Amino acid sequence: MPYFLDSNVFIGYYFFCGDMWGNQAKKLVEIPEQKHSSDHVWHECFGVDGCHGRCKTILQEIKDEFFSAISLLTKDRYSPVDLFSVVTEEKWRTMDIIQELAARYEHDIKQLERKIRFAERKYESDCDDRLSLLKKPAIIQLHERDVEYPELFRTLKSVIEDESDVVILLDAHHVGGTLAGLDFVSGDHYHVYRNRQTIIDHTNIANVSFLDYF
Amino acid sequence: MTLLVKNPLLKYSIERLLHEANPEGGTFFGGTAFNKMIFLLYKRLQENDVDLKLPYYWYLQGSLIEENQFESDVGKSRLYYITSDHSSRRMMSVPITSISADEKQIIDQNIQTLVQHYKQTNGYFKKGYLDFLLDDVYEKAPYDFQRAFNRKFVPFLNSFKTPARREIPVSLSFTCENIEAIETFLDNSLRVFPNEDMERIFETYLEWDDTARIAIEYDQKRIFSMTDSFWKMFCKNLRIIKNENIPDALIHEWDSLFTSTVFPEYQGTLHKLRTSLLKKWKKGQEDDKEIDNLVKKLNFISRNHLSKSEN
Repeated sequence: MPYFLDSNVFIGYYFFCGDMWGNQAKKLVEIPEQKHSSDHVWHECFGVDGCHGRCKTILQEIKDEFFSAISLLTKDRYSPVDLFSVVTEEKWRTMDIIQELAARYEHDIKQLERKIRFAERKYESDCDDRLSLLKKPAIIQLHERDVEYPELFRTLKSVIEDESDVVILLDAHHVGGTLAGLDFVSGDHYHVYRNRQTIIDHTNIANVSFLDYF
Repeated sequence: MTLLVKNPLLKYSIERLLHEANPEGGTFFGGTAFNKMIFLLYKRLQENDVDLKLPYYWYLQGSLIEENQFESDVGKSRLYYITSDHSSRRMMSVPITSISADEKQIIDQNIQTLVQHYKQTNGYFKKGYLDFLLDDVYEKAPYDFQRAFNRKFVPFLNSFKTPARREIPVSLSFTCENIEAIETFLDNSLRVFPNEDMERIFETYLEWDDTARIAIEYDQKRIFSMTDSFWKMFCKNLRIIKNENIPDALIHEWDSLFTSTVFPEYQGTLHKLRTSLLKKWKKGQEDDKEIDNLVKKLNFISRNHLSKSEN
C-alpha cells in the first residue's frame, strides 16, 4: 500500500527520541512500501533551501542556546552556578539539560563546556543524518501539485479549520489521482484523523491512518 | 586626469610622506606601507589638532584607504602614488603647497619622526619594518578581537605552513600540544569578540568557533581556509561600523551588500562545512550514554515545542 506522509511524520522522525511518536515515524519511514509526500510538507518542515522551515528553525534556536552557554562560560567567565541561574531565569528551552550538566560538572568548567559541545554536536549531526535519509527519492517521493481543486478546498475547509492541513490533503488527493489505495498517515488527530470519513468520501485518498495506530 | 584638490592638507601630507620615506620611488615602500603609514600619520596629527580627514576603513590587514573618496579629495588616484607594480612614485622634491606654515611645520615634523621610527641609521628601512608598521596600526584597532585574531591566532596558524612558499604542508598533522595551543588562541579570541557592536554575526561566530574546534581534530587542513573566509566576512561587517571620512552612501551600499549577499552566502558555506565536519566528528566518537540521553531529551524538547505550536 502506498503512503502519503503528513508533516508530523517528518517531525517525529527528524527529532527521533524513542517514544511512541518517534518509533512509529521511524517505522513508517523505514518500511519498504512506496512513500510519498509533497513540497508543501517539505517546505513546512525544512524550508525551500533545506535550511529553514519549522524543524530547522527550532534546531537553530537550540544550537544558539548551547553556543550561548559556552560563550557565557568562556567569554563572560560565568561559573556553572551562574549559568544555572541564567538559564532558569531566562527560561531557556534547554534549561533542564543545561541545569543537569551544570549541576553535575559544577567543579569542572572544562568538562562542562566539553559536554555542552558534544551534546549539541550529536543532536545536530543525528538530525542531519536523518534529514539526508529523508532527502533520498528512493525513501520518499516528493510531489508538486499544479491543480488547485477549489471546490474540494471549500469542502474540506468547512470541516478542517487549519488551512495548511487542507493544502496538504489536496496534495495527497492529487497524488492519489494516479496512485490507487493511497493511505494518508498523520499524527494530527484533531484536524485530520477525526475527519477521516469526510476525507475518504471526498478525495482520492483511500484511507487515513493515525500515526500512533499505524 | 587631474581633478581639483579638495583636501590640500592630505595631498601635501601624502607627497611629503613619499618624499621622506622613499624619494627615489620603487618597491621598498609599497601599497601596504603607504596605507599604514598615512594612517599612523593621520592619527598622530589628530593629537596635534591637525585633521587630514583621511578616508579609511578597518579591513583585512588593518586600516585601508577608500580609493574613490581619496581620489576625490586629493585630485589624483591612489594608483598615481602607488602604481600597480607596488612601487611608490618618485618624489624627489618637497611638494609645493598652499597650506599654512604652522600646519606644514607640524606635518613635516611628524612625518620625519614617523618615518625615522622604521628606518635604520643608514637611511634604509629596518628589516621586516612592514610587520612593525602593522603592529603599530593594530595597536590603534578599535577591537581587541582584531589583534587577538589577525595578529596572534592567524600568524600562529600560518607558522604551520612551509616557510618558503607559505603553503599548507601535504603531511600536516597537528600534535596534541598544537591542538591545545590553537584552542587557547580560539578561547582568547572568543573572550574579546565585540558581541555588542557585532550582534548580528555573533551567533554565526560561535558556530564558526565550534566548527573550527572540530576541524583541528578531524580535518586539520580545513582550518586555514575556514579561518580565512571567516575573517573576510568579519571585515566586511567591520568596515561598515569602523571607518572615518567615508560618504554615508558608500557605507549604506556596503551594509546592503553584507545583509543581502555576503552574510547569507557565508552562513550557507559554513553550514555545508559544519555538516560535513560533524559526520567526521561523529565517526570518531565512542558510545556515550550520558550524551545519548541528553540528545534524546533535546529531540523531545524540539518536537514537543513544534507540537505545542501546532495546537
